[in-house]
Amino acid sequence: MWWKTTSVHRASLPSSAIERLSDQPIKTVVHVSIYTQQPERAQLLITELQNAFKDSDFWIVKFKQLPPFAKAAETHTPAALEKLLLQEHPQSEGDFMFIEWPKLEDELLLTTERSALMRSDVTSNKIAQLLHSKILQTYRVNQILSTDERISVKSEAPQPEYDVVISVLNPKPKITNAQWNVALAAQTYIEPFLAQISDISSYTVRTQWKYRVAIEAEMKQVRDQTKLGRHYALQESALPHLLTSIAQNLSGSISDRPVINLVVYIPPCSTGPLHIYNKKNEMLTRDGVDAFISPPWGGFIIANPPESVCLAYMNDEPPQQYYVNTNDNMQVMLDQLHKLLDISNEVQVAGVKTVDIEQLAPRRWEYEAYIRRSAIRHIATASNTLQSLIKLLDQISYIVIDDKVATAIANSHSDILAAKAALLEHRLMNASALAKRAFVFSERGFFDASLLAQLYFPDEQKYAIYIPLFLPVMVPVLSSFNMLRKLLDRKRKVKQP
Amino acid sequence: MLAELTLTLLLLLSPLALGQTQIHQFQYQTDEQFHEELVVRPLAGDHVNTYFQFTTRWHYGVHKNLYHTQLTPRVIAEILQTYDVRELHIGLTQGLWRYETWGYPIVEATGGAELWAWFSSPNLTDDSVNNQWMRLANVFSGILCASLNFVDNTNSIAPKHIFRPQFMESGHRSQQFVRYATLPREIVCTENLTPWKKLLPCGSASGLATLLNSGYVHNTKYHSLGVKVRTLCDSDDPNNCIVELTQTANLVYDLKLLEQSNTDFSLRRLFGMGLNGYCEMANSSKIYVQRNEQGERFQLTPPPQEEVLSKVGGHSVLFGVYDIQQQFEGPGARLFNIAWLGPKGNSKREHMSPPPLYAHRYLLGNGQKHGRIATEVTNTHYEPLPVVLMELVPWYVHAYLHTLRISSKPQHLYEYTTNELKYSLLHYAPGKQRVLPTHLEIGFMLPARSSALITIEVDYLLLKWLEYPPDANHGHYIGSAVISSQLPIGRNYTALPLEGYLFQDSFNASRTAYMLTLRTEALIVSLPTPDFSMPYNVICLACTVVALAFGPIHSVATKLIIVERQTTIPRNLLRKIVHKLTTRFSRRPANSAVNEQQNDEQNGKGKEKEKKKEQEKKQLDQTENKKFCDKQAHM
Repeated sequence: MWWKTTSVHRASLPSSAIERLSDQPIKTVVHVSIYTQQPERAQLLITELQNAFKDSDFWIVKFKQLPPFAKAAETHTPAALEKLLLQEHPQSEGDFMFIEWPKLEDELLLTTERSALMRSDVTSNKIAQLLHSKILQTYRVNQILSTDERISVKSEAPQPEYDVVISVLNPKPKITNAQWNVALAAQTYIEPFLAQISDISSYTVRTQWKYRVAIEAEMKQVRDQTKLGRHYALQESALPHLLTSIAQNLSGSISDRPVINLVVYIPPCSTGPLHIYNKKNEMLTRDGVDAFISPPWGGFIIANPPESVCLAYMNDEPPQQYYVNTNDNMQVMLDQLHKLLDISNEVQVAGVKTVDIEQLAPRRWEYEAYIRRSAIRHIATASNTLQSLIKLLDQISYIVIDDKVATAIANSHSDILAAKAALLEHRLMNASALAKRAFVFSERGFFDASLLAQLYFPDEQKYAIYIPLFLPVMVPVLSSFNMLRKLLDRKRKVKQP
Repeated sequence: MLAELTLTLLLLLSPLALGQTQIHQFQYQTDEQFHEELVVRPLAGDHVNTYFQFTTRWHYGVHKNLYHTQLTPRVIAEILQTYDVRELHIGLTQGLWRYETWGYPIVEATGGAELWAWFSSPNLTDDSVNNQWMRLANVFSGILCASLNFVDNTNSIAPKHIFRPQFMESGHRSQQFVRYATLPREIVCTENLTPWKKLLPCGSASGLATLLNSGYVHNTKYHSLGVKVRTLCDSDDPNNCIVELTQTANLVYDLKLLEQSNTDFSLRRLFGMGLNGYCEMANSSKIYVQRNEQGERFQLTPPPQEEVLSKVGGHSVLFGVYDIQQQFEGPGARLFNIAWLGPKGNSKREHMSPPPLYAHRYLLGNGQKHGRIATEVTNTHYEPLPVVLMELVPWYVHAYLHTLRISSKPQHLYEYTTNELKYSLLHYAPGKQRVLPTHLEIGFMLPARSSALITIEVDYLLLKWLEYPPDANHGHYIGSAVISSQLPIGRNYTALPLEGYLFQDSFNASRTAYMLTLRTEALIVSLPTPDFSMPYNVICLACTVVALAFGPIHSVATKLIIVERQTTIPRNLLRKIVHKLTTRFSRRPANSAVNEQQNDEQNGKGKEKEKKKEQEKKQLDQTENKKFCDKQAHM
């Protein structure tokens, strides 16, 4: 009865199946179509590219040749050609297309959609390089899946929900009378952008003003040629301390969603304008922007007040009311968000040009690469979580697994398998949804509080109960063994002669 | 009253509603106000009451605007978004407010932590309210670093009559739920003050909040931190709402405990420093100093900028007003200080007349099994007063409704008479062990100039050993009783009117009746407390007993009984032991000799044994006979 009441409840888990998860590598199918004016050239490119991708660890790239058609010759712009091609051969998520356009300046030109233009003399090597570095982002996937700690990057998988908190810090509202409808700015710039990329995670945008929040960093006065005659220098090395001092004043939130902080700091004129300097004492301001990010915490923008405001302060005039420039700061903030959410791709390939973004949404191929990457990351993280949980269960015998946790683990496992299958069957959005669900389930299973129920009463403590009982009982039992031995001895002696 | 409230509210809202269309041109909302106020009232017996009130009032309009906060802390907005809470009161208090000498406080609070909230929303059920209530308490436990996370269904009740909602709802009257809980054991300290100050727009960087230094605040005789949130929505338009956050700090200083012996005091001596300015975000920063009653004997330096006479219910109070924003108008940094100079060598104590209604509570009975909770309510007014009393008795104390008595006595008598008062209202929800507390509300008319003693008998429960808190011998708390009444006069009454949100709203706020709530003392009962090392002792003892029993049983079951010759055993104990030892040692070689013998005479072994046994038997018979003879001889 004692044994039964103290035994640890373990619901059955697909342990061996989970341990076999990593045997099957994550492989993704990608469709790439190529259009050239001469079909032979396309054929050649495809065979060369197929060779290049033959022994890829992660990708199964399926190339397709788009046959030339009569109307193609009549089109005068690449956009029109692309439109015609898309009418004939519609694309699905994750697809990509190369279109030949002889009059191109660069070798390759990436559009904002799922296509790239190429000059007639582009080699297959260049195309393969572009696919690896931009479209498929093989090196990033390698970082995610690699078990080698030198390559793998410790970045977290995207969570299903985020709070994006824009905080405007105005430490001396008496001196800098800054006005800004930050709510409206967030609604016009940040929210539409986040709405475009909410397939992986959903975002809640909040804004807040904070006053009298002092930043604790050393600021050095530097003489310059402006009307104010001086500005202040913030050392690059002081930035981590700056974040620490600010983070504690940004007020917590009541939910347990992770927060992405976007801070706009308005330096008071007594220590402004403020610019960031590096170790070599060079000003790091580019295009009038002083900003930095610290993933995954968030971004920081220094919004210096205009010269006239500080001039008035230095002349002891009453503080001027002014408006913070919405467009400048929001552009920087959007750029920071791109980087923080890990959507944008900064790799430069010689001879490849990328069309600049004109709207808020990210480039289509960029975003789909992000989805593909997140799906792979989610699958990898979920498998890792489940495997380490199983390993832990083997090592520590007093972890309880109740039915709720068991179903979460089983669900996660089946979703991982389904997501892998979807990646193989070229269903990107489906795979991404499944992978996200698997990730959520695995986290829920791993971090469930019920796992710890018995952790504070380990097996060793049972001896505290057993020893007082069994030790005294053992004494007569042991002594009776001694007696038994004597008895046997005697019998043996009796038998011997 | 409610109609009046609606009217004032609408008057307030109308210019704001007009301004809303202009928001897009004029960048950001200006319909958020912040006010800071400090009230200093000298009290009887060389005490000084300082009351800080920080009010943030945000006309946020549409619910969606709660995503964008400016002066109101973000957590408050998030709470309104996440939970269906419409009104919330939290009090963290150390000390006891002495009604008889100090009058009524501006904001009521009981010792320890107190929390009550109103929930309202269409389709709200009792269960979901319970759930939200617990999560809300957890949230504030984090925000204020208090142990509010211990609030759950076992110590919360839904008061029926005593609390009236102070919020306003939009549209139809949907169901309203209220929850109330106290944690009398909670100790309030610096760790609560610091996060409380963080909720202010200026934090502790500037303004009146700079005066609240924990070193001085916690030296007071009574200090109470409060957070009150309420929402006011246009009854016709749900998208026209106001959220009001009122943070209060109520302190009572004992001047005798301050270093100097005379009764002079100043801001600097009370708070350790002068005032260094006002909060830049504040629409108004004012200090009110009471000039009449106990404040009459003090001279103020600098003199107040203006004086306000407030007549409330036939009772007038004179306040001196300092506008801090005017004081700090010019450039340059300085410290502002107000000094109260008392008359020299004047030690006469004027008699303070007690307020119209006050209450005390104590425990009767002895032993750790039964007891009686007695609450004494005294009416010094010349008219009878309606009184509602609420008791929240925790589950580890069993209350019996049939023992409820309300006896009364005229004020000048010392003994309670046998005549009982009839209650006109009773709500009783019996408690359940480990599940629900007992909830009792009674309403009765308290006759003029008399006291009522409400007693109820209780049994103390024996808890399970894991349910005792650390330091179990400290005792268990029973939270204070809440008493509510309507006063016809405004003597000693300083609370804010329902529709007001600033202290100055209480000036000249004459009403037909004044809602008053009081809190009594909390009680400590010592429940039967076991010796906590007992389980281990029991284990050890039981195991020893088992082990001791096991030894003989084991030896009986395995060993052969051989009876030795009685004659060889000496009677003396010492010799017995010596004999035993010598036979032990001498037997070994003897045994081996016997063995050898046995080896030699294997064939005749069986016969020999029989013989031996027969011999032994004979001897036994002989000894028994002998004993028998002895006995006979004795007889």
